[in-house]
Amino acid sequence: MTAIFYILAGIMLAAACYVAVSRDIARAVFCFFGVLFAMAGLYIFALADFVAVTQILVYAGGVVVLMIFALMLTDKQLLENIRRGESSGPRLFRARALPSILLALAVFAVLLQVITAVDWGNMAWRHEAVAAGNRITGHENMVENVGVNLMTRYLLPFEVISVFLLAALIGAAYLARGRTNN
Amino acid sequence: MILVWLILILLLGGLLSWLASRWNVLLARWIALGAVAVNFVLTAGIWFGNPVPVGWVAELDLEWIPRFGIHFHLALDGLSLLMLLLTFFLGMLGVLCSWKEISYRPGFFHFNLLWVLAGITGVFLTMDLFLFYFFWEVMLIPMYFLIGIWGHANRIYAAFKFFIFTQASGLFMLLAILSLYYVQAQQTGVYSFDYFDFLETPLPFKTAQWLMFGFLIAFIVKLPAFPFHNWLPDAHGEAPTAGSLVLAGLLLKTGAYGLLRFVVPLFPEPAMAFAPWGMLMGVIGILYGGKLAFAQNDLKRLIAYTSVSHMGFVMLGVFAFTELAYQGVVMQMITHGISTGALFLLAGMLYERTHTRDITRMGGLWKSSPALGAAMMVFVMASLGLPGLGNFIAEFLTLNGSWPANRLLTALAAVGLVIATVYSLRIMQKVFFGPMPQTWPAADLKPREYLIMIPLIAAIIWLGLFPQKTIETSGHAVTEISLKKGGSR
Amino acid sequence: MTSLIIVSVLAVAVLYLGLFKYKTALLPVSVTGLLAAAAMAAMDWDLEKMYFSEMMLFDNYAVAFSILLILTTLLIFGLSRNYFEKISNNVAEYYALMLFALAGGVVMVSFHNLAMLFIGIEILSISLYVLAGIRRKDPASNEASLKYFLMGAFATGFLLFGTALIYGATGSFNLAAIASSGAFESALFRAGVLLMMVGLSFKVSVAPFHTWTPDVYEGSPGLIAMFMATVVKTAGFAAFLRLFLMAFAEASAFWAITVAILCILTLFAGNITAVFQDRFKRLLAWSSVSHAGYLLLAILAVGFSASSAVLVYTIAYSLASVAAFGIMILVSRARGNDHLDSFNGLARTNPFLAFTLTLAVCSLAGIPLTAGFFGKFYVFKVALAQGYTWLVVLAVINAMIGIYYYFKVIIAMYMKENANAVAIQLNPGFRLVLSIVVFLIFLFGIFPGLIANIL
Repeated sequence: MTAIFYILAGIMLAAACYVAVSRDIARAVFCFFGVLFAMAGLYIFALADFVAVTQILVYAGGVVVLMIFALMLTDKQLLENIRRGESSGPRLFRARALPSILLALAVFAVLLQVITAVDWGNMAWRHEAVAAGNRITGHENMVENVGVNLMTRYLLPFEVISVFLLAALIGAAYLARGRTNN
Repeated sequence: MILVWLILILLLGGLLSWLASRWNVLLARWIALGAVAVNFVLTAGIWFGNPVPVGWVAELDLEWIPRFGIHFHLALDGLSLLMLLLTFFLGMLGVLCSWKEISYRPGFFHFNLLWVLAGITGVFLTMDLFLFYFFWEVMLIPMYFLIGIWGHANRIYAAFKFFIFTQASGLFMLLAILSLYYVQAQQTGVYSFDYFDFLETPLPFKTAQWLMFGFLIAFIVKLPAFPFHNWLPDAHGEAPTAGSLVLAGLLLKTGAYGLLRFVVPLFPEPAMAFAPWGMLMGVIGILYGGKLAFAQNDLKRLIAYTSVSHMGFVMLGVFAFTELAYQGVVMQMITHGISTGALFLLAGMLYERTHTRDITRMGGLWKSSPALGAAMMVFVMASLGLPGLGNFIAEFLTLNGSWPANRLLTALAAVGLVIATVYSLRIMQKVFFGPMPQTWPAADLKPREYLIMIPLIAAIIWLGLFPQKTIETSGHAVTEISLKKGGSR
Repeated sequence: MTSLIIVSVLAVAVLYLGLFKYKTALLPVSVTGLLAAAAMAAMDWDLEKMYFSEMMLFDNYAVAFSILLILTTLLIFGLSRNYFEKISNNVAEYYALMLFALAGGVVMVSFHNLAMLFIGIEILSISLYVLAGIRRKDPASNEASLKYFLMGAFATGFLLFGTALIYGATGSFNLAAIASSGAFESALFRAGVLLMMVGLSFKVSVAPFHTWTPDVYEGSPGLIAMFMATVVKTAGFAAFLRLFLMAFAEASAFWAITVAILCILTLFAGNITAVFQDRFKRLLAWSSVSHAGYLLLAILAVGFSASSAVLVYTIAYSLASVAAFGIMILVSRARGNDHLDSFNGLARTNPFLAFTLTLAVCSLAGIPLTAGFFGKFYVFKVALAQGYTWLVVLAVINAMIGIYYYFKVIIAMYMKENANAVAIQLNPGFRLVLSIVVFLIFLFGIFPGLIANIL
């Protein structure tokens, strides 16, 4: 079992690194697909089967496909310029290498510190939850659990997200509207 | 209640004058003059009503921001009374001397002028340190505009320099005031900005020293004492006449007043420790200011440097810690306000006639305008400390009072009197006597200018011959301050 | 809660108005709705109501900041008559998006659960991504939008990761539960606090996470930049403080030093860069960065009337910013650009505008008689109460630098001349809003007790 975990994690890391350094957008998108898929696998390890399925449906199935469509519809010349790393042509802004690397290293250091310093098996709230019988064994119906929680405890966030989605929808509609009317 | 009115009349007068200038400029000038005159009469009434004020003549204490223990606390004692008289006296002259000089946006000019005066009045009256800082800053913006809009060629730079210097030093004072507030709260549990509460708070020496420097820096920049003087020639030189008058006559005095009212009583021990340095700064100011004054060709800059020199006496006297010296300082504040104010007024009148401030280009003016020359002569003599005029009394008292404190420095300071003679006579020589490089349109003093000059001359002579009344008025307040030193030992 | 519902419904109603082409009704309806929302929020005063299994808590803090956000939006709406019409025909969307952003802001100041904080921030942000890019044909506006979006997404990542770690350490999203969990020593908790701090720092443009600010402010339309500088900043800081006050206050020994360092960086980065700007909008953008620094000073003083200090400061800052950005819009519209030289001679052509801008700038610089002075004073005061003397000294030095660049515009208006300048026409909305702002800046400057006693 542990081996599968490491294999999935390894695939994910390798693919993510490729996404970060690649200049070829098409390949990057496909590797990104790999990242998302491997991550779904990791969710299953965490006994979160509902999240895993959602991950595959929404991200791997929806977002990545959308990205590929966007890629197909984009100006070829632009992509080619980016691939060759040309400084001419349209370009918004580039992330400067040194600060980015420093930032990444800083975050990595924090994470490393957390991983080494925390006594994972011995956290107070976990003991409490185990004592109260509030734990997942892998036999529960996760969808039901999520659904009940969304409609009870997390009802307000769930409702407020509709405002969020509406705002996003209007924004998208505004930005995507044809240019003929003005 | 009368104390609030003193401030409110100026604020409202400024606003009214601004509004009135939309319809009638002359009306605006009269409103401004009237507002200051009413204040002068009110203050003079208090003065004559209580010939020798003992303690607090009038007091007003209202809650302002109760949450922080900030009060609207005004109080008037002999020292403040004298300063207020000076303020309104010079304020009236400021309005009068701008009668013809200021024709560009006169309403806004009078608004600014009266608001500066209001700020200064507030500074002299307030007994709450938060309120004090508030008024301290309220003076600045209108003054900034006075210099920046109605000044001479290099006015923007000068106004900016003035503002940055005073504002920056003021922020240090704010920091010190806030720290004092917390130190007091720690020691006594009382959250208050009240002067009288602070007076009773014992402070550890180290803390007191730091806090004192916060106050000190604000006051000696404003004064200005030697290393911080270099905003002054620019600001004085470029300001319009009324601006220079208010700057030299009143704004500098707020620094001196602050030293007397706050630095010495609130932090007696660190002030004692700082005293030799303070006196040294004073002496350097006297000599260096005098030397630079001698080297100037620009009349207004020259007068500005004489201010640096004269304010050196204030520094010297304040840190001498004797009652006599304090009397001298108070006299110096008043007589310097009158004599230097008058010199700036005269410089303004000369500028109106010759359109230059360069004394090497003037000369022989005595022939065309003897009355102007005579007035100038009086104040030049006052400035060099001729017996019989007010400045002599002030300098004599200061030197006499400083002698026991530090003989060497006092002797050096006395040398400053010689330098004063040299630069003062140089003014007369270059402007009124000597060869006439070109013919000036002969124009002697006009009635309005007589109206300005006669009270000034009367005042300086009166102060020189009968200083007793003034000394008595401030006597009680000064004794209080000098007792502080004894009490803390 | 009622006010949140009103704001959200109002946004939808405005969309419908747009659909049926009642363009003239947009502004009156929005204004009425916002007034109703503010009134409803005020009704919750002193009630301390919890909503929906402790997701939101409408305590006085939330009510005060909600009302501030709503009223600021109201002022901005007052300026927006005939503004959006010049950009596009579809005006309803702008109003709707701004109202959605406001709804997000209200959530941000009243959350009692990290999930709500996240959703609030996202509602606010996504509306702004679109609003920043509202001038679709303008490359600068597009760039602003994209930059803001990328940076915002990045920040959201940090925020979410931090939230997850906090959950890992404490087992809860609830602020009260986090505060009482006693897990403050664990490395997981500390990393979570740090990451959330980074995420929030991005949102309120605290250095070194501020680099997007000037470009985004400059590229966005003036009114949207005004919205970002006032409503968004206020909401961001209110959320920042609320989180650190209600959940992380016990661990302040750990995060205080980090906040102090961020504070110094922000102050110096904002002020020193602002000195070198010659465009007023960029100057205001950098100055808004520096104001984030002063506000961090108050956050350091958690528990010592920090919320009152932040409220006073944000009120003063919002008022002054509305005036400053408003006049910047007028001047750049009339004279072609927002270069400082464009302000030359404004005192002669438009004395009222010059006076208002002087007052606003003095308030931003913290000069007495204006509300801004008291804001600065209060912030310094609470920081000193906590013993951060050295930090306050540095802040005071920055206040001096601030005066230097703020006065550049006063010099331009009063002391420089522009021979061919003509008077700028004001529409009634502008006149009304600017008059209100002038009145309030003076009122709160002279009677600061009015706002200092709210919280």
